[in-house]
Amino acid sequence: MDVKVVTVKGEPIDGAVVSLSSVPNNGAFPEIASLTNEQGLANVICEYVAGEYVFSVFTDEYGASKISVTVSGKEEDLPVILIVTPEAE
Amino acid sequence: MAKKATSQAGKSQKAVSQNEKKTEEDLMLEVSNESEQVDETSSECYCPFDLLEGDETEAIYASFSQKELKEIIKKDEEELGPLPEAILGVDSRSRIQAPFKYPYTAICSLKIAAKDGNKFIGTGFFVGPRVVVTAGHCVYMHDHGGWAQNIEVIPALDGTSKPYGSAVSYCFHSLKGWTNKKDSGYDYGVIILPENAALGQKTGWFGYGYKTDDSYFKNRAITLSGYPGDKGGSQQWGMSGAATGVTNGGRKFAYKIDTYGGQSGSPVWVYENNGYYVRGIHTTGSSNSNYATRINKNIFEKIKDLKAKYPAK
Repeated sequence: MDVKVVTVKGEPIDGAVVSLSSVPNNGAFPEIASLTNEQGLANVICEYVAGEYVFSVFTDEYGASKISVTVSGKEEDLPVILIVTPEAE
Repeated sequence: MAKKATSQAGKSQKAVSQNEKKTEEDLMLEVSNESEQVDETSSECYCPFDLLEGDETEAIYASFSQKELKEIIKKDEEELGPLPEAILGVDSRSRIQAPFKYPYTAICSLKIAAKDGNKFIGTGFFVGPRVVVTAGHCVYMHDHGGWAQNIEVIPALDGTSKPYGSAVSYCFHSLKGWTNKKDSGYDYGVIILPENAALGQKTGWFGYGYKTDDSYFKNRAITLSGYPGDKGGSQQWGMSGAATGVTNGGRKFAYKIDTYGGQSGSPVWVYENNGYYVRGIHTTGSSNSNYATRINKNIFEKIKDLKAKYPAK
């Protein structure tokens, strides 16, 4: 699953560490973390299905954020946008 | 809790291997029969360069003998008590306060560069001076070009501190059951460090062994430590807990220990016979349980062969 990590202003964050906390249907997933590039993009290794994913995003500036995202399962080509804020957790 | 586990598991590795050889051979035969096109248990190796050319390293060159290592462990235990209990304390994930103490020195953060340019974080652990064991999906990523482009191995990373330096490897091993079939039961990988970067001589390494008795993995006290992504992938965190049983045809075992992405490849070990023995390689998370690839006879032999093939200089 492609993700893009950005600030509330939409600026991409380079070097964010993205990992999964849970996936739909109580599924299993490999516990390897992904690093974003200068465009804020990373690929999270997991099966892409409809439902709720919970991500952890760690950045040097904001620390750890936990972000829940529900995907339709029909837009695999589009990255999931993960917006980190100082308040998130 | 760890002391109780020690007394429960009084057998030596050698005795186990001999007594349970037949059962394990039967299991291996079943595995072979299941394979229609590929022998999942056979090795796959990717080593595009002569290992001597792997010069991108900040290795600190030093070594100590097994006798010296025992003295170090003894001294650490006098200071800290039995390490799994003293450092992890309660049954929840805790930051390892002394990653510079064995056995935590033998655990490495992995910075993985995939062939397609994506980057990942994982964990590995030394089993010899140049041999680092990890998850198969840390060295071979099916959707990212296959074998990793390179992996930087950083033992005992603690924030920005790299007490043993780091080394970049281009040489990896796994099993065909993983590389060809993507079968989670074979999710095992090995990183070979260049000859001039035998960092394990400085960090020490884990023992490893296999048990063919499935009941061994029921309520067994185990410890897992690695580099979780929710902590930035640069701090070592660990937890002690109990294994809850085997799954996946006996090739994996489950446990109720908190983990996070980035901890794939972490050692799952027991403290027995005054030593730290890895019984599994953490690979998988889920909402209900987390899972390790079990060290079975096949993996045990593969690691042994690689240790012999890639000694320190």
